[in-house]
Amino acid sequence: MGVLHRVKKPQTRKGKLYLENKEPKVQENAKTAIFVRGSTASEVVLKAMKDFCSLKKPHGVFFNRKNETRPFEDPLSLEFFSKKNDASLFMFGSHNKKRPHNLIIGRMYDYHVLDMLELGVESFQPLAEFEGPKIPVGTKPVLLFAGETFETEPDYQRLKNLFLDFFRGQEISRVRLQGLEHVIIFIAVEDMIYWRNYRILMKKSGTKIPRIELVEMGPRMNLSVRRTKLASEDMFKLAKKQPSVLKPKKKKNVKQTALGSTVGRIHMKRQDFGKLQTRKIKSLKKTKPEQTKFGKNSKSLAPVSNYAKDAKFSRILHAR
Amino acid sequence: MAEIVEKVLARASETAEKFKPVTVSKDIDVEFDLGNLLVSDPNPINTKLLRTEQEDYIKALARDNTQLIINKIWELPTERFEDALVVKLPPPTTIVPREKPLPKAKPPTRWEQYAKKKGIQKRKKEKLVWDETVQDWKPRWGFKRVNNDKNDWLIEVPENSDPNIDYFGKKKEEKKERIAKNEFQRLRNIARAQKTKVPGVGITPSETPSKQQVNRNFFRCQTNGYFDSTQFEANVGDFNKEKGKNLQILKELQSKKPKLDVDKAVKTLSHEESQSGDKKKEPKRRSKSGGKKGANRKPFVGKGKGNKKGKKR
Repeated sequence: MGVLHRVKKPQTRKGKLYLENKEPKVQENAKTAIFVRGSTASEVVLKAMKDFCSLKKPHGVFFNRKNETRPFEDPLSLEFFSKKNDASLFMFGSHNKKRPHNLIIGRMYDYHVLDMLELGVESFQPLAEFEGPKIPVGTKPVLLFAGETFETEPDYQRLKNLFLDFFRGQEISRVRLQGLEHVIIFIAVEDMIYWRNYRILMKKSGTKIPRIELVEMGPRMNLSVRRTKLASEDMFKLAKKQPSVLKPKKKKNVKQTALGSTVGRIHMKRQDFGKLQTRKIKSLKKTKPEQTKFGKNSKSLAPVSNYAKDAKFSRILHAR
Repeated sequence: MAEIVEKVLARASETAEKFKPVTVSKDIDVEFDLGNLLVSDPNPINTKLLRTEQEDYIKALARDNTQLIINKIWELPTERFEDALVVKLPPPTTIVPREKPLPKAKPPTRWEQYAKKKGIQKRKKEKLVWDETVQDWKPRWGFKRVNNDKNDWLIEVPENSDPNIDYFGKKKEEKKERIAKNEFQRLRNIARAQKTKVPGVGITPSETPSKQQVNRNFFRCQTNGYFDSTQFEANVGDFNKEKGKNLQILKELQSKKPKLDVDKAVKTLSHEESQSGDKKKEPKRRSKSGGKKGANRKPFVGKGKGNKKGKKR
């Protein structure tokens, strides 16, 4: 008889670590992008992709071989690449008469295409054409989205999310003030997206906050939006699901007012008036025989109504 | 007094001339997501300017928005981290889809199930152990471990045992067996977790299974896996149930009447009847009244063909 389920153990420690790193995690790794060259990619598209890749590094891999595939018709081969390289972002470049200088940008969820967007490169100036120093590899960019289309149209909202996903890089909890060096701006106007990259210069302003000046670093691109293939609302919701560990715990009975002060609600037991400290008068003080009879702590002579009696009384009232 | 005011005003105007302002005014307030270093500017774009003075317009727009987010970031509390001035960013507010589905909890192994039921807790063992012979601390397992008899050139023959056995070979064999057993259990746990059929029969961890392994599988085959599915009972269970069980046993022992097993009685009766009747029909009828599954069945350990029914699995 053969072996039923040979679930192979990793042979080396390195292999084990590699497999562990690939597994789903609560706090995910930074997304890796693959840049796939189509069989018909033009020089413009190729250079554009190379520039995108250099900005995306160290989370970018360039595939220089020509690949005969059409992501909008059949994304299977891209999904295969994604699985092999553990990369969930992709960019694909091609060129033909109907769609000249075509760039397809997209992302995957569970190694299946989630969102895909086709962009036409209308004008392009590569990174190398701009003079001056460039930013170090792996710098987290400041992302700017301008234009009301990004806020109002649902499709563009999704595209904004896609661009954010593609360019934001590693998730960080703290940032070095001098490390803010790179700005990417997206402007959406009438089916066009203007994409620019700037380097930040911090100048003295006489105050603590520096005056910002920008120097264009390149690349510079004007892109036209062509086809899109966005995930359904359900699928997108599923992909956005956050692990319960990461969600902040809901605080009960604590609220913030409009003025910013914190208001809390406290639940207390009913006050026992028997133990209430009233004014000390000599005449109310217990005599020796009383103390022995009622106990030292009871304050007054009259029997104090206790909880049980109160409760009973209220019940009777309600019944009537 | 007036002189002082004038001086202050003059200095202010001087600084204003010297430096450009850091404030930016917008018609509609821009939205920030500091965790992602993201600015969304909902103000309408001046399309005319965008057409005529494209680069200058975009650059000015970018500068203003960058200044706004820098102002916001500079408001955050700073701290020192590895000789650099850093600010702590709030968590991102824009949720980006995950790249993989949420991690699933690992299903418990059979031992973990058992340990939970019995309340066995994991104990942390020290990694280093004191070795009496060497008078030094040694690792509990792994390279240069304590009590390592792997390279012994001599093995003492145990009392009352055959001196002609290859004890070196035996030791090797035992080690192999232990590894194989562990692998087998690992596979069974995986199969159970994937809700596929748990391998019980016929699957052996090695190409040449040992006699013991074969016997174990054969036993499982004979009992139809009855002992595989035994439920573990908790250490501290229902006292009344246990008491009742024990009392029942006592009662049965005390009573002089023989315990009547109805099933068995019927079976023997039918068997006798069939023997007195047609002998050819006998085996068929017997197989039909096979009795309850798993009940009254004794484990059969050993070689031989045994029950033919068991071979199905």
